[in-house]
Amino acid sequence: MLRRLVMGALRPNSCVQAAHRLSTTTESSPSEVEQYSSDGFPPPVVLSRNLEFPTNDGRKRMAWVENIDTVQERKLGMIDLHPDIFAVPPRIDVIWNNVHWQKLYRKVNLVQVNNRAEMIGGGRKPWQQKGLGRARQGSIRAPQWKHGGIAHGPRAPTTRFYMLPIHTRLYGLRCMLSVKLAQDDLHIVNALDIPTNEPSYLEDLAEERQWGPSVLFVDDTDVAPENIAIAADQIKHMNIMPVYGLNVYSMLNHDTLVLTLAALERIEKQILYFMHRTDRAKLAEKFKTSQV
Amino acid sequence: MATMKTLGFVSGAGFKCLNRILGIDLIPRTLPAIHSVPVRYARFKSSPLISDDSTQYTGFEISRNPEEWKFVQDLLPQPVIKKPSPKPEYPSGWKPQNPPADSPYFIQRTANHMLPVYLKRDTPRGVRKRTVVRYIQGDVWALEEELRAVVSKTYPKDIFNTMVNEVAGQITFRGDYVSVLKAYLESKGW
Amino acid sequence: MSACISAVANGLRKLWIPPVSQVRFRFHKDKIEAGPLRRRYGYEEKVVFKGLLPHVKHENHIPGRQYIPGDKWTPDKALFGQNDYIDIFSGHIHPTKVLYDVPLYLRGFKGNEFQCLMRKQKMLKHGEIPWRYPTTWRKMNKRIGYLYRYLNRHTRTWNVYRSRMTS
Repeated sequence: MLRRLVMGALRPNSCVQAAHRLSTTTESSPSEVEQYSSDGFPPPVVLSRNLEFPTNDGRKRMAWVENIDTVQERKLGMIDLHPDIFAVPPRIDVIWNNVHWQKLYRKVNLVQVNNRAEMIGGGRKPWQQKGLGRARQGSIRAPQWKHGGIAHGPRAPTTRFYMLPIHTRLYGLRCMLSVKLAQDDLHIVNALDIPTNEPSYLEDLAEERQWGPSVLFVDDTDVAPENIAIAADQIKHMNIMPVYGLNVYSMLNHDTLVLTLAALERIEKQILYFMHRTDRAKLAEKFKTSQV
Repeated sequence: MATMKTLGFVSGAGFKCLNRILGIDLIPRTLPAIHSVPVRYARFKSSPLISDDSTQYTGFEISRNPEEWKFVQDLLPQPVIKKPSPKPEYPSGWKPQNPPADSPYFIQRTANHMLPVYLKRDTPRGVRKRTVVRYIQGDVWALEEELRAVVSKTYPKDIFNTMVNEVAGQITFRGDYVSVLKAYLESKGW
Repeated sequence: MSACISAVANGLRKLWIPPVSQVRFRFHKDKIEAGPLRRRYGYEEKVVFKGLLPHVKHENHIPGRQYIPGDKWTPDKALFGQNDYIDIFSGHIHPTKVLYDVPLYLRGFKGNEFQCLMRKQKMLKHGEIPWRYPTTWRKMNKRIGYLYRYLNRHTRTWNVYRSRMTS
């Protein structure tokens, strides 16, 4: 449905710079439309989506749909975003929790030192117990000896694993997406098709549209279009990710997040499904390794 | 382990030596071991059944009638919590949200369509109790003043503290005032 | 003869002394201006003489060595955290199952050394580790035996159970 509706106006960028993004209200959109109409171009299509699990609190978030097949920006339309995902309060503590978990849950410390049992030799009593006037010793690998084993040393592997509750992770994703939208760092494009595979094209694009130096493109599919894959592969700070790879750390790491329409729909669908599942209590149970 | 040892014996250098020294052919006797390498599945559930012999199981017949399937579908658990169908009255006493107009704040219902008023304890069976009102949007402080007045009116002798987390949209009362707050918020239409 | 000649020469010198004007290249004024004599040039005094509290400003880095920041966008760093929310977006895969850079027996595991080694032993005993690395395997078994004895005989049993419960 979205793709069909988005096929709307194709417009040069110069006259729409003022109308960069509408964040909260629809009231300013008619004036924008008038501005478009006065130039003789067809106005952008304002898309009204039927959002699943609608809220009745009056919050509303909208975003432009852009193109990336030209360097100059063209507004293709405007879509509604679900307020439960794109309009939640910016809980920095929750975002921190998520990033901290992402760093730690994969961490394994492999530092290990040998104890006296693991070292070679040391089975023989170095000298007899009595009669030499020397201290009694039983092994040359005892910890008080030079080249002896280490007592109470680090034992590998030690993990820092813990599992963040799934609802905290969901909330982290929602907070991060809301923050990105509020800071004008979330852009929605119709598709990831670009005309060339030159990396300079993506750089010009980011320069022209004032996207951050680092850009994260997210699409619903595993396989990105060839041109953007080749171009982004040559720029270190521009990365492509499928939807299932999306995470709080990467969103925070990259300055700008670019979602395709399909990716947006997928993200909304999955997050809303997890928010409204009937077995939410079971999901929130404590993590057990054997039950995954 | 036994299988692996056999495999190593067949493919490794030891077998060739034996073959050369003894001048006997061991292949016919050892090769069947290769075909009987047990496959180790990652999980018990993902491993196939031992046999496809249907006589081992209770008898059943397969029906593809959509009319019958409807009865099965009613028994299946719902994947997501659905919006309750509108009725004038519900037997449980639950009321749908009917928010007042021109309110400086908004209280969102939970995913289960209930009021987000919770009782929390500091320790699992502790005596220190807190009442938390969550999912508040807009002017949290206005709601806090309102709820404080409600609680003071109901319990004039109580001395309680409140804590407002504006970013998270939460109000915490020290003490157990869940029923008072729920009754008040329901009466207001939240 | 020579003595006679030298005596005559000395007599003549006493009769006529050539005028000599003294030329000075370094004056006392210059010496004062140059400041005190610098002894042990280049040696830095380690002792702090001034004041009661030492305020020593150490040099932070070795001069001549330039700070070169590391690459923040290596592939590992650029895509760090990918698939950490795969259970939400895919619906069925758990993120602990895709930690491919973590050893298999440590994915989603937390516990003390004994629990860790028991898990390792249980999961690796059917593989190639025992016969490919027999010494390592023997050391590990030895350690498990030692820890079993230590935890059961020399610690309070409750501690073990508590750590198992929390892991």
